[in-house]
Amino acid sequence: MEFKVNSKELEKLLSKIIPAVPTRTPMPILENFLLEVKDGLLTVYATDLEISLKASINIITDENVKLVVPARLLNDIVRSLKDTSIYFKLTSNKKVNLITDTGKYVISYLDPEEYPDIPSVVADKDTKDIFEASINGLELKNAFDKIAFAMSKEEMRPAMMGTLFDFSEEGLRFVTTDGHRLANLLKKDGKFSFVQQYVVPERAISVLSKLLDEKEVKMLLTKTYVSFKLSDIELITRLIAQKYPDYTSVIPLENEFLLKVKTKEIHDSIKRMMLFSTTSTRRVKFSLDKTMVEISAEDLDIGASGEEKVECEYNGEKLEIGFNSTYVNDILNHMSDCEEIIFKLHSPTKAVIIEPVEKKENQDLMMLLMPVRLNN
Amino acid sequence: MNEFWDNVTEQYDVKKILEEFIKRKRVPHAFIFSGQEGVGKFNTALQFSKYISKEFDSSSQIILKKINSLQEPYVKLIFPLPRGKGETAEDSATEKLNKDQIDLIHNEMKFKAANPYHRINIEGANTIKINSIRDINKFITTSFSDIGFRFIFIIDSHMMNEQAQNALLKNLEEPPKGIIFFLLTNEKNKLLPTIISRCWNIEFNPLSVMTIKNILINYHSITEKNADLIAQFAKGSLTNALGLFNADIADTLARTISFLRYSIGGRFYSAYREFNEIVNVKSIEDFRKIISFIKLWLSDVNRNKYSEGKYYFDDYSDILSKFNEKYSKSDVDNVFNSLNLLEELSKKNLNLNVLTLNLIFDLASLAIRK
Repeated sequence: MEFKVNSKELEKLLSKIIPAVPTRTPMPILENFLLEVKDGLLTVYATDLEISLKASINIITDENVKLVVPARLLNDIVRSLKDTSIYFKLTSNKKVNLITDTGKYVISYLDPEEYPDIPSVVADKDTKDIFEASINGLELKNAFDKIAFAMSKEEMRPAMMGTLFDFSEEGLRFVTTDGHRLANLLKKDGKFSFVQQYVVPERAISVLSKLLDEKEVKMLLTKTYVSFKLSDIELITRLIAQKYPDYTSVIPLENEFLLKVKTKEIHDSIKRMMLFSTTSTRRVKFSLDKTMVEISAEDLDIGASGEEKVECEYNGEKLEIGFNSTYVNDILNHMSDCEEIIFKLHSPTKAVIIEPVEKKENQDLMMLLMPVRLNN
Repeated sequence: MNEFWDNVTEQYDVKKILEEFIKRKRVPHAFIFSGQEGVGKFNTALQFSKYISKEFDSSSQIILKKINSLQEPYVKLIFPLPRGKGETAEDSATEKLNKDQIDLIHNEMKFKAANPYHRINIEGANTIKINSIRDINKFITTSFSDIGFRFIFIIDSHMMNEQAQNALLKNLEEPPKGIIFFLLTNEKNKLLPTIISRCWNIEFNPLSVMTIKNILINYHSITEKNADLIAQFAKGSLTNALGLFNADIADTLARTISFLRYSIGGRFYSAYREFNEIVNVKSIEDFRKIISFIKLWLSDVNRNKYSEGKYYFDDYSDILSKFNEKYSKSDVDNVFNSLNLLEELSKKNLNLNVLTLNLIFDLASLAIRK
């Protein structure tokens, strides 16, 4: 059995698959690629049991074979080769010879039966309720960039460790929260005839984010996993099997006071005030007035304090409200492309909504932040 | 019996209870298997898991093979691990371990899959880390609805500290469908009452001398004479038996006898020197082993006094008679209790020299003629 591939093509393929290979895992089999040659197609699989990646290239061969080879070794050797042809030649003693014009490399391979099953959404005919959706790759990447930061790292509420994909007639809504802040982005360009919620784990989001390009992404959604089909690679992730908390119930409806500020100005000011906020609470205080918001912070431990004034437009009563400056900074970091933003408030103890003034076409972005109590 | 139970040596009561769960089609979601080491708790859990999969999920031979070789996502194996360099609570349980440690873990898991009676032994692994419990959390909350049953084995579950046990509690309370926990332990008293009350408790009995002897002969190619001797002293545990085999039991017994002679004869320095030669590199396990031998010898003394049956120290029976003739009024029971106390104290990190001297003086008290 032998087949031939171009080293650069294979390198490109492997470099996309390798992120799914776990390091220092108690299951050594996962540190391998599964190579499948079938009907003139070489498909490479990798999985960490949570996410799986697979990609294919065309090769010339008549035979079919499956083998499991050490992922990093294969990746490293292929990466270090110049543009050349590699012949894969299987020998009887469970070795695969990689032969180039100038070299020969021998790698042991394992039986494919030992490799975990890679879920395949299409082949899974028994699964009812398979839904399909598609979205532009860059749009999806942009959505992840905006909202992924608010995913929780707290294991006690596993659902919040992922991103909610909420499909409805309105469009596709992405929600993340850790209980202190919430990021909510609605993509209105596609309408969906089904109403379904899927919680995609953090690892899938971060790996996928690096793979996305301007091409269309096809999503196949089942109760157990979601497959993201990109032009040249497929990512299949298992979902988090827990119901996402009802995020709509925490979004306040009566926030009538509006504070409009320039994003960059308030962000710069917050960055400076972070230097003066107490390390334990990271608290900053916003004192709101008609045309000016005063932002102040105080670190009693080292006896330092700071205050700044930022121009604003505010239509409510005088109000003092405290926030965790790290969270404000996170939110502003992810809204830096909006020139102006609006804070919607009600009282010093109610959640605050932060939105861009100029909404993008077909996209609603909303951040929600819980205030912290001020001592007075 | 069936193919699964055939693989479990003895433990007839345990098998009967577990079989009943299958018959009634109501399997609890969490078990505690307790009993001394080396009686087949892990193997029973493994066979029972395969039985459940076959019976309720009609699992194929391939899946049963995967369970048997302890493969995730069918089986999640949790056991004590060493702490990695600079490891924090956020890291995964194995992320910060070095390559040698990871290789060792891989090997130990391979051995365990090949031989369910193998005891996983990793240097520096003295707690089940809270990071491992977090792994469980992730394992059970990730959607695997395409797999009927997934099993979580927590080996040496008493090695979870209180924090880890509390973290486990929530998972034990309401695991998703198809998850079954097996907490294996030889020190159930170290588990929190809240954990114990959430699990179905099953006690394992020590193995019979005959069974241990057969296993030693058939699986470990030990001669019949040696196997017979080891099985007598193994206290119903295969782990103990293998430990004794590695330590050359005949030699250890001979040295124990000479240690007893020196102690009772009042030659304290010789006794101390002899003892230090038996107890390798000041190991507390070796200390306990010798204590348990001496306890068996004392019970032989009593048996000899009332001339009852076979002795543990059969090869040294003449010494027993001589002792009883000479010290007929010695308070064997009192010394026995003292040894129990020393055994307890040895678990509390006391200085081994102090313990050894106490042992010698306790034994010397046997020679007091009233």
